[in-house]
Amino acid sequence: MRAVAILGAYALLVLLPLLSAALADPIAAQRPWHIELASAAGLLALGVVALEFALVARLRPVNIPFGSDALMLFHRRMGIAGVVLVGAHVVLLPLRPTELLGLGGSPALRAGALAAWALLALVALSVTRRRMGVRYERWLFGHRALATIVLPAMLVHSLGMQAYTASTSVRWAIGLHGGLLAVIALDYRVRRPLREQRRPWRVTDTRQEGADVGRITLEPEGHAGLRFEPGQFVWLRTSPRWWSSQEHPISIASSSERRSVELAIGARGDWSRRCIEELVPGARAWLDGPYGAFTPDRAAAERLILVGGGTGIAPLRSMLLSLRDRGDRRPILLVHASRDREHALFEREFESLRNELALEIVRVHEVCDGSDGCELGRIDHALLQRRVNWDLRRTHAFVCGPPALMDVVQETLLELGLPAANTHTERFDMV
Amino acid sequence: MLQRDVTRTVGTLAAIFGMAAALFVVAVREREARPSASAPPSEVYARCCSSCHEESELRGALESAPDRAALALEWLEELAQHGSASGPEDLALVKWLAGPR
Repeated sequence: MRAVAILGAYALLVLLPLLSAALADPIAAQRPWHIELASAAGLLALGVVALEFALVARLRPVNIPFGSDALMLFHRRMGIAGVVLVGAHVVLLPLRPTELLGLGGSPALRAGALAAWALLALVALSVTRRRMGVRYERWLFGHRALATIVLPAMLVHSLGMQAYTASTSVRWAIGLHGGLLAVIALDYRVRRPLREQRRPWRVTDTRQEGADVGRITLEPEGHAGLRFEPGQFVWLRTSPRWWSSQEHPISIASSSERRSVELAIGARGDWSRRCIEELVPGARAWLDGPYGAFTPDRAAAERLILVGGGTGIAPLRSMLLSLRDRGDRRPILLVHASRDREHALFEREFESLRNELALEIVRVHEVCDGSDGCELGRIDHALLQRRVNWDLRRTHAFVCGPPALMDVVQETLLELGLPAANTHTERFDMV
Repeated sequence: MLQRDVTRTVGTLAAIFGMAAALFVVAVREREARPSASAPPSEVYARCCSSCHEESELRGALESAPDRAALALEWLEELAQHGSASGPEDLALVKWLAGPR
């Protein structure tokens, strides 16, 4: 219900400039239909692009029903929709090549060309980042810089063109978007980082898990800590500078019933390697969170299926430890995929949890001689069909790991009869 | 599921926005057949007719006319003879006179 209300509010906000233009209509003479369609596309693009930032500004009321990964994917798709609308706006207008390139015309027209080219570059960079091998930090810097150009340029263009925006109500609608953006930006980039700054965390323990994962234990320093639901994640920052954008989403791996927080960080990129090196006992870190809707606390489940691979097992560990601490005895099937025994995270710990939870564990290794009870290969349809052989209507599944694993598991569980709404995922591969 | 749900949501929103754009075009293209928003009745009246006629008198005549558009054109010709109407503003005046109340 809350999700529908938020989507309705989103659609209304996007449509607001167009609706006010239709109602106010300050243009006296009739114009060709393609010019009106171009205006409609431009007014819609303004709404879509202006709200893009709100989708990824970690607004808690928006994050709770959807989860950050769904919002990120939605942000990405709506960004592409914004480019299509801007493209339609430009193509339908009789523009000269110099105006298209931003080299001629009024200042408002030049601002429009700048906004259009910057938006195209921004979306192209996001869509091709992985293929072009652009590092996340560099991409994020470019993304933010281009967004900082697009939004003001769009506002200058739309207000300066004096067509529909000559009407006071349309100007109010655009002003509302601008004001909303300014408030969200201040909250996101100033108020929250400053609040985090006053709530540092101290590293109390570090351990190596598997071949390339660091487990970091953090204790709150001078504050009450974090109230989170098992499966949620935080944005981790190691720099004391509150304005630093060097932060990454990391799943919480510890029990929600404990004061300390454990994070499992895979040493896969420059940032994560440096982070593991820097976070030695005594070091400080800052956490923004919790975020995410990937949690069994919001699911009315009689049974749980947890499927994880790589560091995707971390939020599942948080779920298992939390359920243990709460004395939960619901049947749980844990399917744990890893390359081999050396790369399997928390394996001994999971084995010990068998005594405290109604837990069945299936270990799937790509390299396995069968001597320690593991299954050889990868998680596939046949394996899940063999292991999941009960009525799935009141079962909820939580899946986290490499994208290919998540796709296979989701499709298979659906085929086996698990209702689509009962499958929960957490994806960190959206950009 | 996540991809499918988001794709479905984006598709639904795209359909809503597409329909809104089409309705917008249809709505604003009707400009020729309705009074201009840039020329509110009282302003038009003040500009063209207030020196000789009461506004209620003109309204009454328009409401009782069997062919409002024809009457409006007749008035326009009369205004042109008086030199009161000229240029593109005439169109707005005719629209106001001929348009629905």
